[in-house]
Amino acid sequence: MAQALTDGPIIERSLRDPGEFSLIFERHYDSVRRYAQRRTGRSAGEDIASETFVQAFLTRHRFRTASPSALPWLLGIATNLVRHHFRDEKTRLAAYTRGFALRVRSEPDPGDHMESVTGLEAVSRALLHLPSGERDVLLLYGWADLSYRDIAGALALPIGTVRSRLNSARRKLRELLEWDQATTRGEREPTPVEDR
Amino acid sequence: MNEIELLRRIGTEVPEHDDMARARAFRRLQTAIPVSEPEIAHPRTHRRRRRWPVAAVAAAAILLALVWPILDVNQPGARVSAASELLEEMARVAEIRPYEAPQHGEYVYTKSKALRLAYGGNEATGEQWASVVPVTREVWEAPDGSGRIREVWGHPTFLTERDREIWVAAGKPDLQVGPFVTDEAFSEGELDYIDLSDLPVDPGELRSLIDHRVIRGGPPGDSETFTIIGDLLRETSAPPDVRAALFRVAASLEGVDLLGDTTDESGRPGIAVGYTEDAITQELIFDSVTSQLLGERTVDSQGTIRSWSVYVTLAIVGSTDQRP
Repeated sequence: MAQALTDGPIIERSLRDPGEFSLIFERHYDSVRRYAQRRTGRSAGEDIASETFVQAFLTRHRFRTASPSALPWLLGIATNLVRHHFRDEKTRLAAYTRGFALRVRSEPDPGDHMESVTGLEAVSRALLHLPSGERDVLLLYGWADLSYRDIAGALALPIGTVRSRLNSARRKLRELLEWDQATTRGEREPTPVEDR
Repeated sequence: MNEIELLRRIGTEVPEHDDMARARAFRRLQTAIPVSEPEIAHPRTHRRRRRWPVAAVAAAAILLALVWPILDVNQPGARVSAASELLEEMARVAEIRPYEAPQHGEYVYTKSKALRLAYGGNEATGEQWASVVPVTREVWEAPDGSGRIREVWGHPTFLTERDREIWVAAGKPDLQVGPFVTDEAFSEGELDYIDLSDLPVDPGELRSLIDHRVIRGGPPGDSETFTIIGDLLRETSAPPDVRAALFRVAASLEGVDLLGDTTDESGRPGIAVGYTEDAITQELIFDSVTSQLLGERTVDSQGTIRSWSVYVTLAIVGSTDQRP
């Protein structure tokens, strides 16, 4: 059975035959769009995904053709574009938080389910307040399932920086999570929603 | 459930597939793929920073002064080519302007004044009113995207007496457009800082990146391209050869008019070029000696200025508390 080409040789061929690049689009468009839309919402995310492939095409000579997958590179481009849409991202993350907060308040006796909804609210709220560098690493890890090495390649960072940013982000999430779960169990006074 | 498991459950409502979005994105990508690509763009990786003596700048100003009277903007059909020639001269001036790039820990400081248009409406009648409000804006922007924006919004005034009447009939609701002051700090990556130092200096390559909205997003069309060029010349400290290329991209746009000598809204003399779409002209006003963008305004078909901005200070400072 013929083995499918990895992305590197396809991009290399697209330097001579630009139409070849459409195969890269076919392979990775949905992953890039989903990542961008989760971060910035439907409309901005679609724009970002679209721009990612145009930018990738125009700069494809920079791609290291030895890499088996172009996805980390594409997600790195998308992450840079997300930074130009930081207001869309904040709006999106705030909407997640509001949605979970409403669920917490609207369910009179949620039982065990309450802790996970409260946790989702806490995590989405923590995302809003993370430094953008930590948020980028965390979401490439948690939402795009990239390895430390791939994140380092995508963001042009040393792998040690990726590790320290991810550890820092996870620690902050855990701290807020523990606080909120203690609140849910009644060990602490809840924070008014409008002050959060 | 740990924090990563919770994180993975957020935003899962985004669909796995979206054929419409995919089709739109593919069409957009196809516009970037040439039928026969002559050459792959290689943005320069190293740029030699140049500082030119005052005499060279003066020579360019004299060159511009010699060329400017030759351009007869009143001849039919001459306005577009005259605009192109002026923008080419601006490019030559821009190439030899002294330049200082912001270093790590430094901020590009810009101060501008503007008259902004704001709309409100009477929900009962559906009528709208327009008001204008003066805004003084200071921006400190670092290359890492951190910084500060401070805005002082003044008292709004109605664009016309009719606008005021509609507002009175609506019960004089709060216009919510001033006076007030906003002052906001931004951490790394939050400001839309565009690093122009590694862009191609070839106007064709640069235009391709702008046309495909790689540098800055937006709808297609030359009107938006003209707006983006104005944005890039405005608040960002661009290297001289990139500024020159931006002028040359503007010169290559069909539909750019030379509007001739003018003064900006703070009274400084300059030369204006404009792009008209849907009966609204967006004007860019340049200092003819330095090529610096002095200001912008939008003017309707009646000649009424709908909004304007003037850029009064551009400097590099060491902190977000510092002003030049």
